[in-house]
This record gives sequence, C-alpha cells and structure tokens, in this order.
Amino acid sequence: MNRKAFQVRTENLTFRYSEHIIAIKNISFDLSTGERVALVGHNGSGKSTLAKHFNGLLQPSAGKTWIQGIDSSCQSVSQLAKKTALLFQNPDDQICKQVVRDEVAFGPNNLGYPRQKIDLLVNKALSDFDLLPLQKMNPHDLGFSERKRVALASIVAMDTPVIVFDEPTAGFDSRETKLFVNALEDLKDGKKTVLIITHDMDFVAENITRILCLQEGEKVFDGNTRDFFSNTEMLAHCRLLPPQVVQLSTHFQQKRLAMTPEDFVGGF
Amino acid sequence: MSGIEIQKLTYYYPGSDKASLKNVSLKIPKGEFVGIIGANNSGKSTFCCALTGIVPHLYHGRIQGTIKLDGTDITNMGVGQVARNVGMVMQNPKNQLSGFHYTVFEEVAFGLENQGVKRDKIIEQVNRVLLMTGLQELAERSPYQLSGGQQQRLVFAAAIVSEPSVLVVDDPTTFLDPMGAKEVFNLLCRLNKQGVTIVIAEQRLELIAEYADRVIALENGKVVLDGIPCEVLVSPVLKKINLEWTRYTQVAVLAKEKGLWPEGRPLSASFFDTVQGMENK
Amino acid sequence: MQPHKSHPTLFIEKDSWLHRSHPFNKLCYILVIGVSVYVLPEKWLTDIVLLLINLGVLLTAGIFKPSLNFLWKTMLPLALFMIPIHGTLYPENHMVLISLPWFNIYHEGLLFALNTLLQLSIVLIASLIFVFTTHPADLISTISQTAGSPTLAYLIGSPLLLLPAMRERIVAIQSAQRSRGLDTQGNFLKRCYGLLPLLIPLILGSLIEIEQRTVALELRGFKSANPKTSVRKVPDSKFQKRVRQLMLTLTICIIGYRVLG
Repeated sequence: MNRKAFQVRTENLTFRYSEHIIAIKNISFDLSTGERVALVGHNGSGKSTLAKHFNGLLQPSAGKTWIQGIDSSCQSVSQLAKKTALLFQNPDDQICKQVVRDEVAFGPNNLGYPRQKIDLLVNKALSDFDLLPLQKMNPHDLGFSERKRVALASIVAMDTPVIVFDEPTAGFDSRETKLFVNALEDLKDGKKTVLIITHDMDFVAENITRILCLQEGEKVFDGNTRDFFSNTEMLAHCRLLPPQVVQLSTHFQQKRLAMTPEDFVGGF
Repeated sequence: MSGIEIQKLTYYYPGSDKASLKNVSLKIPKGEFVGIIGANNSGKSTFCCALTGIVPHLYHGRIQGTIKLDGTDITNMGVGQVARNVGMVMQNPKNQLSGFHYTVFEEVAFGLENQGVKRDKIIEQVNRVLLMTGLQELAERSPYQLSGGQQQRLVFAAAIVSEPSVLVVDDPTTFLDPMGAKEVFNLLCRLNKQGVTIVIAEQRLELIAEYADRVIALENGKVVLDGIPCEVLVSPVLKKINLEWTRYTQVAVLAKEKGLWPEGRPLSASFFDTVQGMENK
Repeated sequence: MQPHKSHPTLFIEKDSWLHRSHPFNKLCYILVIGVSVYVLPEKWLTDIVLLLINLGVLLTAGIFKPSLNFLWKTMLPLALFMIPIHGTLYPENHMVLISLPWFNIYHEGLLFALNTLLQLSIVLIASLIFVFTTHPADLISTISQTAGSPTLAYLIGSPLLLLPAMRERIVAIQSAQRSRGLDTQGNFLKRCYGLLPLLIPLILGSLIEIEQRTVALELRGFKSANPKTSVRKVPDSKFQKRVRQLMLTLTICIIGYRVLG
C-alpha cells in the first residue's frame, strides 16, 4: 500500500497514559489531501489524545502514525510542526506576544519562512478572522473569543499541509463561527487536510461530509455524515445530540436525511 | 416587588470611557427563567456580574443606577452578602473550585461553612443537593478526578446549596458535550420549578428557545429586545446584532417563503413549535 | 478514557501515623529540625543524626521514594553549582585535594559545600514531610480556626496549591508552543529564547485563574466575618498537643543554649 498517498495515516494506534489507563485503542484511519473531517465523541473519548499524535507531542504505545508518508516516531515535534499545526482549546495557553500581529507571526517565524511569505500569511490570517482592526492591540487586553480568533489565526498562518482544530468554535457567537467556516473554505482551496474536533453538530451537518467518532478511546464510526446522523442509537451512546435539522428530518421521516434547512424544506 | 428590579443600570470597567452596560432598566419577576443573549462583548457577562455584585465590588469601575432584589437595594452590597440570595455559575468550572477540598462533599459544603451553618444542617443540605445534581455517587471523590461535565455539575451544586432565590449562570455549556449541555438546562429547569429565578447568558439559542420563559437580547450594553422566546428569537433584529436564528427558525422562514407554513402562524424558534407549524399546514 | 487527574497539590494520599498527625505538629517538626541543624554543635554528627531521624520518619510514613525523588532533583543542580564554587573559592581553602590543569579543588571548600548541602537536604526533607502528608484543606481549616482569619489561612495554604497547578499548566503551554514550532530542545541559546513564550502564558494565565478563583471564593462567602463551621474535623488529641509543646520547648532550649553557651 502507498502510504504517501495519504497526508495522515494511523494503523492500530494505541496510547496508554499508564498500565491501567488506555486513552485510545487500535485506531486506524487515513486522511487524504484536501479532506475535511470532523472528529467527534463524548468528553474523555480520546479525541485530543489522538490529535497530539499528529504533531509528535505524543508517541504511540502501540501501532503507528505516518504524516506525509513518514513515521511520526522518526520525527521531532519541531519537524512535525512544519507539517501539522494544532490548535489547542485554551488560547491562553499559547498567547505570548504583546501585539496581535506578532502573535500571529509567531508560528511562521518559528518555521523559518522568509519575511515576505510571513507578511503575506499573517495579513491573510488577520483578514480571515477579522483581526486587522485589532492587529496592533495587546492580545491580553482582548476578550476570550477575540483571543481565540488570534490563536486560530496564528495556527492558520503556519500554512501547514495538515491542520487540526480542537473545539475551534467553542465560545464563538454566530458571526465568529461564520468567519471560521469561511476560513475553512479557503483552506479547502489551498488543499489543506483539516481535522476538526468539535461538539457543534449543527456545524458538522452543514460543513463536513466525513465523520470519525470515538467512544471510550475506540473508533466506532468512520464514514459519511448523513449515515452517522441516521444512527440515533450510536449518537445517544456517544452522548451526542442530532443537529436541529436532522431532528426535524427524522421526525418527519424524510427519505433522505436533511443536513441543512434548505435540504429539509426542499424535501418536504 | 418580588424578584429583581433594575433601574437605569450603567457600568464602566476601570479605565474605560465606554459603558459596558448602558441604562438597563427591567424587572425579572420571581421564578422566571430568563435567557440573556447577544454577540460576544455585548455585555452579557457584565450583566451577570452586576446581578451578583462582582461588578463593581471586585472588578471596581463606575456603576450608576440600582439593582433591587425583593425590594432591597443590593447595588452597594458586598459580593458575599449578595451571594446568600444570588448564586452564580461561571464558564470554566475548574477555576471555580476552591482547590483545597478533599472531596466533592466538602467542596459543596464550603459555602455553608462560611455562613456558619451547623454541621448537621450542612450534611443534610449537601446530601440533598448532591442527589439533585446526580453527584451522590461521587461524594467522596476528589473534585479534580471528575470529568468536565461532572465538575460543572459540582459547581452548580456548590452554588445552589445555600438555596439562593436567584441563580445567575454565565455561559455554562461552552466546554460541555451536547448531552452535558442538555443536562445543565434540565437541572436549571428543575430548579426553576422549585421557584428559583434563573438568569442565564447562553450562546446556544435552541436551548434558550426550549427552556426560557423570556429572552433579553443585548447589544453594546443596551437591551435591544425583551420578550417571549417565540418573539425575540425569530426577530429580524437578531441578524443586525450578529446573531443567527436557530435552524428551526430558518426552516420556518424557508417554509413560509414556499407556502408550507400556516398562514398567520408566528415563526417558531424551537423544535416542538416548528414541528407543530409544519404539521398544521 | 481520560487519565486520572491527580489532585492539584503535592499531597500524597496514604494512611500513616504522619498523615494522621496534626498539621501544626509537622510545622513544629520543621522548626525544631531547622533550628537544630544550624545551632547545635558537632556539625557532622548532629547532621547525620538529624538525617537519620528524617529518613526514619519518611520510611515509616511510606513517602520515602517520592521524597528521595524530589530531593535529588532539587539538590543535584545545587551540588553541581556549589561544589566547584566552594571547592575553588572558599576563603579558608588551604589543602589541595584535587589538582586540575586550570584550578584546584580544596579539602576545606569541598567539606564546607558538602556540609551546607547536607544541612539544606535535612531542612528540605523536613519540609517535604509536611508538604507530602498534609492536605491543604487540613492546613487551611486549622489556620482558619486557630487564627480566625480565612484570608491568612488561604495565603499560607495557597503556595501548596499553586505549584502543582502550575506544573500542569506548564505541560499544556509547552505542548501548545511546541506545536507552533518552538524548539525547546537544542543548545543553550535556543532554550533561553524558548523561555519567554513559556513564561508569559504561564504567568498571565495564572493571574487569570487567580482572579477567577478569587471571584468564586467571594461568591461562596469566603471573606464573611461570621464564625465558620467545618464539616471536616482535623484530628487532634492531648498527646499531639503535648508533642507540639515538647518540640517548641526543645526549640527554645536549643536557641537558649546557643545564646547563653
């Protein structure tokens, strides 16, 4: 099999925090170039633990992970940072600069991009997340959701082939969520491989076509979004609620499960 | 007047010329379940902090106007004093744990200990609240061994153990999974049925639509909408203040455009109202 | 499944005679050991006896391994620094012990360094005995009830809370910054450059946490002037009180012996 065809590949990936605590067990899947996948599951199901294998922060206890065809255990975190950017849930764990612009440039600077490229990437990221009016401000003077946007911009500006977002829209209002959705479209055009860890099922229904679901550290689903939301029993097991439109569509027993309001009304 | 009465409330954070709350005047009758909605930085959290005295007493700044609780002016009362009647739960449960209690039981008992309540009464009340919040099996666990959702329930338990007449909740579902978010609202609903006034700032409008009696929308510290959910949450004003209708409302709007919505029937914001609307065409 | 989150303190949960001892007894122990180390004569003999007492306490309390682990991680860097400095520059250096191409290590300086390290280790072990076997809840409860000031109690008890919480945060921050390409390995200069992006989020994040926790404590009436009750009972007994009094008396006698002797 040609591992190089995939941006990310895991085979029987297992990670233990200790002898008795297995965080993730026998997880196997691939992510192709330009693919956009949602990683869902209840709190504590192992989503963040899985994500940390893609940039080398964690190494498997068993099984393997390949990033762009190379075994991740053969690469350091700083080498993998050029391939996989990872957004953490708490923006306050990373904001370290006194100026928003510098904060967004932090990642690209560390990756050693040329000055011109950094400026281009930073300007684009600031624009995408509506941070241009705030670029000279101190990020610590901003509210939580603004700081989160700064963190998002700093990750996107790294321009890596693979990006993992951990709860990118938590705490966002609808305008900020829209900014993120638009940024995702840009990433798709740039053929970036994107993995989004999220609890926002409405967002998933409207923007994602493939879902990976974890439960108690194991992969219980990998497939089409529509098929996932059709399985109400699994949703309940994973402590997930169907999206609003899916609830309506299920109630009215529509043949083709609707993912968006337009889908639902069109199929009525 | 029984309940909360707010008169011309204006508040400035220290060093700021821009008011975070502007001339807010409203009454919240006892036992009401009120959702506070608005885009980020609209003043929702500041409003919640004002109800508990956190502003101005802890964050300082300038406050004008009055807040009365059951006829008593609480505007100039300290946080600890107000807390006897107004409980509060904030966004991040981890930062609300005292950090120096052995067990869930002791963590919940802390508020009553500070009030000097007798030991027997503390034990009785804590046990009751642990049962209500589904934490009775976890009573002897360390608070830091709980999951995020369990910690959030613990924080609720700690806030309601003193039996406040008002519970103010600021964005409690941000870090919770969907089932966890629903459990929080179910708990609030149970408390509300027992007569506790609930004031909750929340981004998930579909949950507000399902549970709240009344919705107040804020923009730049001002009240722009105030009414029942099926009026406020379907208002076109929401878009102007950077909020989106719930998907249920979006379905109702599209259905109406296509002639699939009953003539004269108001638009819906919740699942049940939308289903009824679509079924009645 | 998530890893079991440990309690954010240095407290090691066990059931030993030391865990059951009153927090003030353990504080008195630190006092008497600290005074003895620096005041009593016959340095080496005193120090070795005190060290053996400490080790005996650690063994019977079941915290020998974690204490030793903490001890060597703290003392080794100190030793690597102190031994060469005192070995070469101590004012009373006279007898050359090791002759190296660029400098000599002297017997007097080396002994001084080793003795100082031993004394520091003894005081550190006594402190670890307290920290590893005293839950902050017990300490804060005791101080609050004895001194009548919850703020003082929290001020004294909070360092015990802050250190482990900071450790967890440091790991989270390091992960976030390494994910953005910050090289925390590499040469000395690189590591220095890598410090600020770790320290700034740590300090500012801690300030945010402290602020939110302060608000949460206020909301639960922490600063109320009412006499407080307590669900938790910190066990104390006549015997423990006598032991406390004995240790305090011993401390005063040792100081008196030094002053008068």
